[in-house]
Amino acid sequence: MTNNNLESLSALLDDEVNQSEIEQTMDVLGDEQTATFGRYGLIGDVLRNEQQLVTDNAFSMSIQAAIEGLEQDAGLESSVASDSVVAISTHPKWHQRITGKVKSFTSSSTGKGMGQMAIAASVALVAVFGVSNMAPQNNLMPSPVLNTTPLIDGISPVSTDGLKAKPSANQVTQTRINALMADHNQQLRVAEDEELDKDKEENDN
Amino acid sequence: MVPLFSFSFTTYFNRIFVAAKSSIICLFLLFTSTAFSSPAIPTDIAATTEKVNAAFWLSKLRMALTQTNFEAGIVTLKGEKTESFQWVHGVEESTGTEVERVSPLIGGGVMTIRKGDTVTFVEPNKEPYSVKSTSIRSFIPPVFYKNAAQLINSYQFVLVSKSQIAGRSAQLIRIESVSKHAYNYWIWIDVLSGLPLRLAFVDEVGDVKEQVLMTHLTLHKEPAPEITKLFEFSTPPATEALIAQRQETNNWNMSWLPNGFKLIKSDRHHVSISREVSDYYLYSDGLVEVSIYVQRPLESFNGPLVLRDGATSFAMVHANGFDVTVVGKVPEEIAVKIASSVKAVQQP
Repeated sequence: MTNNNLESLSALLDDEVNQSEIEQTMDVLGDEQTATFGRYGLIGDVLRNEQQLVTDNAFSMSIQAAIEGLEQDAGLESSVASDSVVAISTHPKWHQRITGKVKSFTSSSTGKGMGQMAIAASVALVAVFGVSNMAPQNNLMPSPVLNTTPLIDGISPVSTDGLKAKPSANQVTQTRINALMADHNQQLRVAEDEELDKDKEENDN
Repeated sequence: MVPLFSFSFTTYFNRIFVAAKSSIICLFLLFTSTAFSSPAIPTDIAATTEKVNAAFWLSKLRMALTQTNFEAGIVTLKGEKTESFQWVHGVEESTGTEVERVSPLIGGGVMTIRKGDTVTFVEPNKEPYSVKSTSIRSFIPPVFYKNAAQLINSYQFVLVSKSQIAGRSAQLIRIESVSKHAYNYWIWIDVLSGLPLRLAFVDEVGDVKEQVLMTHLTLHKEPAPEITKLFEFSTPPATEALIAQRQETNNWNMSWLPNGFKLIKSDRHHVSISREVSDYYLYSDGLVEVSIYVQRPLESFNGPLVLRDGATSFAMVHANGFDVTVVGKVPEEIAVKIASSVKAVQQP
């Protein structure tokens, strides 16, 4: 595995290669390069938020198996859910737990080799779930405390003297306007009465 | 179970037959209904075959207003104000008396009942009273209950195209002021019943100032039970005492009046609310009325005051030693012009 190979893989993913380069890259592709290609793709997906969960079961299962083994070793009750990585992440203090476990695991004589891988895996987990958990966390934001302080401090007193004042010029005019409007309508009601009388008189004459 | 949508030939033909049969029944009903309604409106058949004029429609309107049993919803739009009424009309069968009632849909207003030529006003917290009149003036100018042809001196009649109102076919007739001194009056007449579906005061540029809309209309062959009840309901008789005694005043001279306006009455009376004394003149051009009040001057009032409510204008001007107020359904500038034209008659 050389840097050159990885460079061409990266370029392939970024769609920055021409046809001949694709063929050239494909030719030299070994098992390890294929796996690297897969990981690059996964990283890209996660960064672009196109991948919600790590779907590589083998990878997560191996971590779970390691942690389960540890818990039994330490004689602790198995409180960590073992179904999936997601279940681990839902535990309130999951990352402290894992860090603790991993540390004790690395200090033990049996798992020095596995330790490094576990640390790397936990970093990857934090990265993956850090991204995928961002949105749900927004929903769980505590709602702001209801503001119970009124916006207006109080009702200010007003003078009622104005109501007792003499009717103003406008009020006199207003009264006349209302009176005349009402009288006009009243007159119309009896207008036809007059007309009928008039018609009658004309007919009589 | 027989499938709902079977396409066997027998059922298919059956359906065509049924459809044909029902359309024949429909046609038959149409013919019979025309035959039944023709005695009431003699020129009904002519309407569909001949070229008809505005006079035909106006006579049809008058017939419908006085002879039909109907129930209608009415909305009046006046400036920003909207009012709604229920309007029931019928002819009491035993006596042939016309009975109608206009009541506000929202309580508290004036209910008007007409029996023949007596109109009764029923208001909350007031004694009901009656006057002599052959029409309820709520929506329709009284001239449409009489002979609309008397408007011919001041208005011209224009028969316009038909349109749809409340889902019914309506014939529009524009009654246009010849002198432009009054508003134009547009009336949409229901083609089938002859009743008015929409009435509007329209100014010179075509803006609607005030309008009346029929929101629903139900026609009955028989008068509604309500009509019989109203007929039996006792209303106070029309009293002469309500009307101010005719004391024609000759103190004032109107030097200008719009074309076609004639004096209906003049008197001196106490204005109903303020109890102010006023010399009063009522003029009409047959379609609309104008009141002229001449009163002692208000100390605080100097300048002319012009107000408008829908089509009703209110103009008050201060003249030499008196105030003149003109109220009526005429354009504001006309009201002001009438008010300004009032002069004191020089007493010898």
